Amino acid sequence: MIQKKYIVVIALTLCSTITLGQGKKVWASGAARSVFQQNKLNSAGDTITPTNLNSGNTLVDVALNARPNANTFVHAMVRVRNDFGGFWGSGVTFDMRQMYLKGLVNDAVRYQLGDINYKLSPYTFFNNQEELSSHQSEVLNIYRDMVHYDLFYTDDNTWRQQGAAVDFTLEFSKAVKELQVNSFMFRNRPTDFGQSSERIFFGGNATLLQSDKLAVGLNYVDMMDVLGTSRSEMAFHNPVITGTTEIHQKVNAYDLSFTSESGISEMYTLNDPNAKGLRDYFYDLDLKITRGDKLPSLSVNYINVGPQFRSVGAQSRRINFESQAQMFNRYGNDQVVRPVTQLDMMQDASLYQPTLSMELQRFAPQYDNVQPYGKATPNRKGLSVNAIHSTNNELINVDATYRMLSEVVGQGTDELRTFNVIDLSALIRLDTLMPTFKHPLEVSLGITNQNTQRDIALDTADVDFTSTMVDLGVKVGLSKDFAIIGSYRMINAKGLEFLNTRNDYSEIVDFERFNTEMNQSIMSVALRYTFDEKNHLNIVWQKLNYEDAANSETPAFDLSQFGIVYSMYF
Amino acid sequence: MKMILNKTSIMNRFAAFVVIGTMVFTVGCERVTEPEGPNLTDLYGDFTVLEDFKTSQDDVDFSANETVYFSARFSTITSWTITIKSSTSDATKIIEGRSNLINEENGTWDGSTTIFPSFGTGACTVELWTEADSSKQNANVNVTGLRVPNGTVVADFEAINPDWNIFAQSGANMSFKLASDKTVPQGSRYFDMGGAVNWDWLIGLIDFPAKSVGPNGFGLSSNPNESYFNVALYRPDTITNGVVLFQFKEDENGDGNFNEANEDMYSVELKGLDAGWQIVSIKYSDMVALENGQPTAPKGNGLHNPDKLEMISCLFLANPSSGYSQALMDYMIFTTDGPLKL
Repeated sequence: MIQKKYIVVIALTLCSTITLGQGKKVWASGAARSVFQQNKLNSAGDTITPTNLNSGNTLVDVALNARPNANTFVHAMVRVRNDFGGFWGSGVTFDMRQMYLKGLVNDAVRYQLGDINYKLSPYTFFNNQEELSSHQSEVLNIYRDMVHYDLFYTDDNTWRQQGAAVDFTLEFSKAVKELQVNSFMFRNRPTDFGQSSERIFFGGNATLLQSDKLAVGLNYVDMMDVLGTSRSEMAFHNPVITGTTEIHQKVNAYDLSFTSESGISEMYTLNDPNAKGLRDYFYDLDLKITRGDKLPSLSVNYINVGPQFRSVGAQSRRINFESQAQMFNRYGNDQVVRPVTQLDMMQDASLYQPTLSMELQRFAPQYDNVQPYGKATPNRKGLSVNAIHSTNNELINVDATYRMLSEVVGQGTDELRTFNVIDLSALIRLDTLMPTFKHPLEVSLGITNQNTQRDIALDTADVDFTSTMVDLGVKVGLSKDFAIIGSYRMINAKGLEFLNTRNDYSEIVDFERFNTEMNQSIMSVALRYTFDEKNHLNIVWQKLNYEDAANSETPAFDLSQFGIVYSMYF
Repeated sequence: MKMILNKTSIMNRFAAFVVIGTMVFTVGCERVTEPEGPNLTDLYGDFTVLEDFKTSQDDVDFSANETVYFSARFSTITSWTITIKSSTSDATKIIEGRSNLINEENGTWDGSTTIFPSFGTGACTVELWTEADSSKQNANVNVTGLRVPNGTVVADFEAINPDWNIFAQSGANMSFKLASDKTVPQGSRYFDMGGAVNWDWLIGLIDFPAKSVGPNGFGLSSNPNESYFNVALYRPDTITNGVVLFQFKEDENGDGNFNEANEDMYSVELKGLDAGWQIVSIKYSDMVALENGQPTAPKGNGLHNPDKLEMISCLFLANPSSGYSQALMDYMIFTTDGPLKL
């Protein structure tokens, strides 16, 4: 422990010394955060669970950045964390958070080694947003942003991986503008020298840019076990190949954009007599029409994703609903496992997973029953319509989507489930109407309604499941630096669904009845002081109510939370 | 202008060709169109018992390699549990399944035990519980002979073998000894490993050299896929900090000794055991070399050579700051026809 402290101190000293001595060749960057929370759980009649829970920690991420020459960049970040209550070194942890180097070879080929954020397309390699994240009032992002930062989740849907990536561009003088080539290879799992082989994930993309109006591309990824790295003769494979097209055309005053992606996937295990290979295809067609800023932009999308389409890089989920919430994980006199709520999803990093998963993981229908694996969700087809509009003075921004989807093949029956989704989010900037009011005055609204239906001759296996989420947010600027932000979000889910139980080869072997009548709401209010764009102090109060009338084994409860959150990036 | 038109026209044709081409290529692939998963009618239709629960025979002699199976048939798939209880002890065997048919494939009892002690001879009651209607049906079976596991017994812990090397730290409440005050999976005694050592992870260890088993050593074949290492372990309800580490040391050069610098040592590290007795089984070829608990490359020829196994060491460990720890051990045996069933 003491040695590690010395290493950090020496690294920082060295860093500052070199920075001062040689200008910007070596410099420090990072982040700091301090969180303190008081939590109180209340469940009627519960005489066993301790009702109060306090927690807090301070952490500092310190990165050493070095540019030894014009074409090379090195970055290493260490995390020092101290949980409140640990004094004089006890409770302090030191971890290597990330490390990479990148550079340019011959002014043409870019490379990166070590920790890498990477993505391709929504069907090949894509980190889909977690449930409820499409509509989040600003106050709900205070804790969520911390989880995202800790797990390297970014808004551009990249996955954090370890390995190597190379990209370059070839420019042409005739017919074709340029050819962009990206390739990567990541180590997904090390061997244990026994029955578990080394697993790698590799692939790339080549995009031919004919002009600003036309681009065609090819994506290929494969998750595979490397034979010979262990004594196992079995080798998992999941190759996916897709083609993409992007066409932009102006017709009269309308800008038309047509994009498409289609492809095939396979999933099989070599030398495993029990493994049946899965093979399927998908296609995704999207047409977008815009006409200046005065009219809304309209998009129409059609997808068809086969039931056996498997793409580990695109179907891995962020939240693992088979894990348990860390805070008050059991409650009630029967000490049952507390259900995962929207509060846990916002701030419990232990529910999230940072790596790709070989299996289609369990999802929670009450939060998303339609496309829980993103656009690559298998066994879905149908149409979506989207409209986006902003008024000229930015008073109103609206984004509305309607999705009409169904299954491609039935599950346990020939009859198909149908899915209908209404998605609406709006931001109203009232301060634009009040020239004398110099601070933000905003109201936001998010509504999502999902309905799933399946009618079959067997009444006990009918599906009728509806969930609704409404999020109302407000932001009031009190001065240049102070603001009050608040939100009320409620989620209702009601009805009967059947969850899939899959075997090790991703085949459905059973259906589990899922019946719920859940109501949960969260009220959040925060006072925010902004030191600068990257430096905030928030004092947050939240109260969550949860009940599920259809499941008496999980009694109703409420959870209130007071927190102080300071965050800074430098 | 004409030039531009021609270029645009070529571009549009190329774009159409690309889009249609990729679509045709994609959709040209075959797709399975049958419904996924089991038929919902088989799962959630009306439940009735089509064939009553019964046994294949009234008496069974497991020592003569006989088995008994139970049968029943239902109109829908349901979860079911068969519980066999000895009338003379607490020995219990539980067989669980989910199907609409119970038969020789999924309802056979080979004389093994789920909850120890092992079964003795005598009458047993058998109960079938079905989830769909929560009903129970009963039957009886009489055990006339006990099953005898095939394999090489390394230690049954009925007595201390003088060839074993036993070391225990001088900690608090140490109990590295034979004991007999608890139910045991086999025989009447077990080995009690317990104590509190606040300066070291190691609480104690036992070495089982090849010569302690017999003149032919462990007598294993050269095929690592044939040999299974089995041991019965017990974790007390309130103790969760124990780690049982087995080391398998091979004498690859045949000099009668294991050299850790250039010969293979494979390990099995057991944490988080269930409370109570349980049988732990691992195929010899599945064992890995460990260094500080992490897989590493073996230091010898890298091949699993069970026929060259020179010594098994059992180390009982616990975090020195975690206080008292304890685990019980019984019936260590190599089997060749699969994991041990007692």
